[in-house]
Amino acid sequence: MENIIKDKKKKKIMLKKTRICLLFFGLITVSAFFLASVLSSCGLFEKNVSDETSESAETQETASETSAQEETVTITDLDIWTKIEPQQQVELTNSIEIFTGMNPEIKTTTRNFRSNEELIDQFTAASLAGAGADLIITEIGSLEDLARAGVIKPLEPELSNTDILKGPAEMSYFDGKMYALPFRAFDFLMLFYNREFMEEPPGDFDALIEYCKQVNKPSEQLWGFLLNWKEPEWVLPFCGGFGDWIYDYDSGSIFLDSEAMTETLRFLDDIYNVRKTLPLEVEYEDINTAFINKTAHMVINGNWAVEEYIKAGLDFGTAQIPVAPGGFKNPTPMINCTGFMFNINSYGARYEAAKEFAGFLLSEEMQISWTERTQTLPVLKSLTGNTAITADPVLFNQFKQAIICRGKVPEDALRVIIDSMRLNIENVMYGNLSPEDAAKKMQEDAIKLSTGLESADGTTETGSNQN
Amino acid sequence: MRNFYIKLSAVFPILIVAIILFMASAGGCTALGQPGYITPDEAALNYTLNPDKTGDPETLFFDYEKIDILLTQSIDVNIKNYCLYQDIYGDLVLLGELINNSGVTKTNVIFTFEFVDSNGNILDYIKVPAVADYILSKGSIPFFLVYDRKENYINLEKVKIGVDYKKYSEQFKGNPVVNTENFRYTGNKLEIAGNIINIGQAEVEDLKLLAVFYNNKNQVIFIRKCFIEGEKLKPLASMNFKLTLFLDEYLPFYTHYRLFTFFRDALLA
Repeated sequence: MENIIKDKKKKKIMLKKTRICLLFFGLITVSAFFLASVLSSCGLFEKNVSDETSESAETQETASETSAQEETVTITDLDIWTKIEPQQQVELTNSIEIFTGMNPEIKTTTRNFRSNEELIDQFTAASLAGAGADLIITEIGSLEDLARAGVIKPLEPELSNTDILKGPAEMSYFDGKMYALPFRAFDFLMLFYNREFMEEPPGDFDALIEYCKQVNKPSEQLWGFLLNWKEPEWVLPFCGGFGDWIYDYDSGSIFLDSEAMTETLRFLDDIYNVRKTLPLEVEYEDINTAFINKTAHMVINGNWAVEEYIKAGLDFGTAQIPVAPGGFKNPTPMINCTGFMFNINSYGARYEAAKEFAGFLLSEEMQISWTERTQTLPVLKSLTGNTAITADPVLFNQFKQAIICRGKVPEDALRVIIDSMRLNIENVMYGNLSPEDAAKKMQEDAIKLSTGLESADGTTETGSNQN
Repeated sequence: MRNFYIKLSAVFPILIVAIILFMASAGGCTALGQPGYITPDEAALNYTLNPDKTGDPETLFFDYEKIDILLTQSIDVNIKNYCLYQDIYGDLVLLGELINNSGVTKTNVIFTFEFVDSNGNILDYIKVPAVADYILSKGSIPFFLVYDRKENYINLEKVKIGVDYKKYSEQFKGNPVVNTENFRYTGNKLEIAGNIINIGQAEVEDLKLLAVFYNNKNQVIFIRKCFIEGEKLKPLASMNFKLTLFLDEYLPFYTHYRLFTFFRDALLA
């Protein structure tokens, strides 16, 4: 009986011990898991902090990973954030595949953002906290915000490429320093002509107007040429053709009251009101549709329309916008571009990898490959003679236009320029202001708008749904 | 029993260290900030090129520019200045405007959107009433649709936009006209202010003022209803309006705007 009681007591003690053990182990596991999570989230175990300590840790990890390959390779992580269009995303994936094939020691991680603002916001926050991608690829119009925030590096002289097109190059500077390396060019205006009606387009506007006089049939809505004068972006290029420009990329100053602007307005007044060669009341969609329907032989449109015209089965050519009467050179539309910007926190092997990747994408082979597969153009002047470009006249002439384009003005300034120009161009076209007065008024309005003052003196909108 | 506790307390720190090391090497790589982990923000982005990360397959590489827009229209009305884009939330946004070319007011206007895949199958069919009840002769009305059924995006090839309407034979006697007195930029805000004057002969009611924003291709890219002081306006009376708009990431870059009023004659006029 006593033995039975002793056995029971022993069993009870054993059971108690087992429970305590289980409780201890449970506690240990929970606390250890908690500690590990906290330490990991603090970055203690993070592999890729851009300092020497992490690089050595990285090397250790890499060495264990590649031990099967019998040789030790140091893996460098390269983090890239982008905001590019889907076509370009696909091409970027292909390029990365080739690049990592050639550089197995570099492991890339890419993340594409839906909007440029989102990329800029997140990158700025991350970079200020000492993290963020090593390299960003996006429209370089945003470099001013990033450079002001001090989150991107000015480019080293070795990266400053003198072969870059003028427009993209002038967009890549802020405060006298180059912060972005242009990559792909797009969105610029040029002349489209229907090859069913002409072999070559007129070289200047005098010849173009003469052609229009011969072929225009207003009663049948047939036109030799149509211009979207209602949109200031279509008028701006002529200022460049008259030898001046509307914006200083270094200081951010706007220049609308210039002789070139006055000449531009005189030119519009001449062809619409004096010579009455072109129809006044047309808008973008009318012009685009007229070219597709072959009721307009020539139009000025953006390079974005190339695919649409091919799809419509048009036999068309492209050319530089012809020289305006009295102009010094071909008009200079604005051009936009994507480019590379480097995180201020990217150092050592990661920074070198980022530079190598940017250099790889700027190689002739990659630039041509992107030209063939995306609706963007190379940024290197030296590619003018490349057979892949010269073999396609539409592409070749697009590129010729791109070479003389000016950089897209930053959005804030562009908004002011467009608002100031629109009303005053209309005033000239409807005979309410002389070109000289309109140019002066544009500058006054631009100053008012950019300084937050109330603009424009009773601007009247014809606003009911009856217009 | 005491010995047991002594042994256990000695083993305890060693066990903790061992388990921490194990967790750090194995489980640590799934912690925040590490490859393989998608934060909620990243998941919301739905875009990633890294095969290690899980993107939303419906929207990965989705190119909305490939979608064709087909218009079904009549002699009386036509759809113009339409635009399709993906907003910052990844939703497809369809906008445009309907022009009433006829000499008769249109009412009960309903826009229809048919989403079609490459095999001609209808993925979706949506009807949206117009933002106002009457469209005057030679007038126009903007429309928009936010299409957020992302599961259909990848198969989407065409969107057919149609319009149903009825004719309203009477002519309105009211005629509210918008006068923009000023617009300005203050910081990242656009402020437009002005007034509406009824230059017609009848009182108007159900008055609405819409600001329609266009891009450089004259496509409608954004529509905003303006605040006005009331919905009725007597002949020769006026009321002020003000519109403040944040120039944020949701508003695409616009180059110009137009203000449109919509109304009907008051029943007791």
